[in-house]
Amino acid sequence: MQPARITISGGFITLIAILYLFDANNLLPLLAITALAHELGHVLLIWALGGRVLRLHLGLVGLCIDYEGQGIGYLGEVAIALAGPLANLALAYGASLWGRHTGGETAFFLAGISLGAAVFNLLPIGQLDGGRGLYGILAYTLGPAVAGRVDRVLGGVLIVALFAAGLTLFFWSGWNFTLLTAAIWLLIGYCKSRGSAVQYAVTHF
Amino acid sequence: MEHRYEHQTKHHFRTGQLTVLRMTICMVLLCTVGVLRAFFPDATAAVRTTVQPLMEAELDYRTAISALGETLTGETGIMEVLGDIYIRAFGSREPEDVIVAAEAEGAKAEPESAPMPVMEMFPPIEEVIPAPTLSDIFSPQEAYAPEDTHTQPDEPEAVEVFLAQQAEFSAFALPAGASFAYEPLYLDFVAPVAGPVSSSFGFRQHPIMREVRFHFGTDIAVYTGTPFVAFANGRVVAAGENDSWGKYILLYHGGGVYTRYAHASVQYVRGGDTVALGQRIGRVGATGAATGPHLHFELRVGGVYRNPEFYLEF
Repeated sequence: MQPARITISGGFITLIAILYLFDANNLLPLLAITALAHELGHVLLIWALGGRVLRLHLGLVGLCIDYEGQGIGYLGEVAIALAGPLANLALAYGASLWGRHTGGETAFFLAGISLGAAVFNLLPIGQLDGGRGLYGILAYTLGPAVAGRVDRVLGGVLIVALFAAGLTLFFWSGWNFTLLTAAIWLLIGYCKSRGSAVQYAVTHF
Repeated sequence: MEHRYEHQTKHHFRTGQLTVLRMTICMVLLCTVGVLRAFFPDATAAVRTTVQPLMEAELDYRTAISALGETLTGETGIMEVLGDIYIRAFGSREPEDVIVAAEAEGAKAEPESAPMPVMEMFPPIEEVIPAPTLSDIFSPQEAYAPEDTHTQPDEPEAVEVFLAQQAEFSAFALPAGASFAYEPLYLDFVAPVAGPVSSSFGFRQHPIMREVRFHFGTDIAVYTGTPFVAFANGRVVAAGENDSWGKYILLYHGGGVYTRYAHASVQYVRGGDTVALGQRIGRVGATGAATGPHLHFELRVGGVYRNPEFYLEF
């Protein structure tokens, strides 16, 4: 059994550099803990379902895990997709309890970040866990062709809606670019996975 | 065939080289940022402070996210916090109407049962820290030195006195989100400023409108320029300015405890700052809807306005 590879793209390193430059709130270490819990959730469920992790890729558009496993099936993929956000919810709850116990504001901050990560990843957009979960459910009920199409269209519509909301916020609030940046980031991921949506969703998590 | 094979290997080789080059550039970029932050913290902080106001035009993200995280313990309502964040980010830009009701000081006719100002939890962070004027610096008032800090309020009799005072208004329903009950605070705190109370928390006969209004805070009448201090350790949610409150500061002390300081002439802190108990955060003034210099001080615990006078002698 060959060990899982970890690959890092240049885009990811640049993203970290930019975040690190503008990070005034010590967000980065907490974000790392959140991401670790998230990926651990995926990996644990892959192992639990008898799958094998091939590669963890840290890219510009996020972290993704390549895995293979016989007999996991569409519903297994749904479970694996949802395991990440679930792990984030568990972390958020744990951190908030910890913060209540110790009165530490950092713990509440971690809880908020983890909660936000869970909600964000559950958006039904192709490359996010919500999108993969939705794909799995649709593929199981209506077949992969329909699932791929619905996933593609719904993801595109949602990204456009987020983009519009981001633009509105940008001009209305006096150049608040946070939501716009998130929409652009999602759009990059969407375009990168264009054309191979079905295969992508089957093999990449 | 041979030619094609050669071409392919050559192409592959060049792609590999490009990857190495790209990764090198990215690594150099990351190292540069690391070195900059390690050895030139002031310069990188300057970069951040130019960008951050753009990101935090509406609210202090860290405080907002932390408040969200805190809701998971079940002490504060998640919908209330989400509503606050939503409204601050996308919704009404005019919390002034509600503030007028909460303030109930101006001559504007507002029913005393006005809806709770939920949206004021994260008010806009507007321009802060103006340069203090000469009269601010050479104020005739002595700087207020906090003497005794409290951990447990010791005046249940004050509650009785207060309830007796308010008895004449028993016909009026308490506005939602305000309470006359005493709730212990589990933190160290201190009076923001020492001075006579010119207007108490609770119902009062409005001098001009000849009608009963509810006052959500306590007014402490002191001269313009008198410094006031943070009620407890905490973080600045907002330091802003509007028509009603004038220059105001909103602090979060953890555990669902918020305090607000309104009508200031000078603000020494800005959104996101950490403040210590007793730290000077501003000077009293008469900005906004105020007829004379005073500090309007509000205390909110778990989303409910409480009488600050139960906890402190001003």
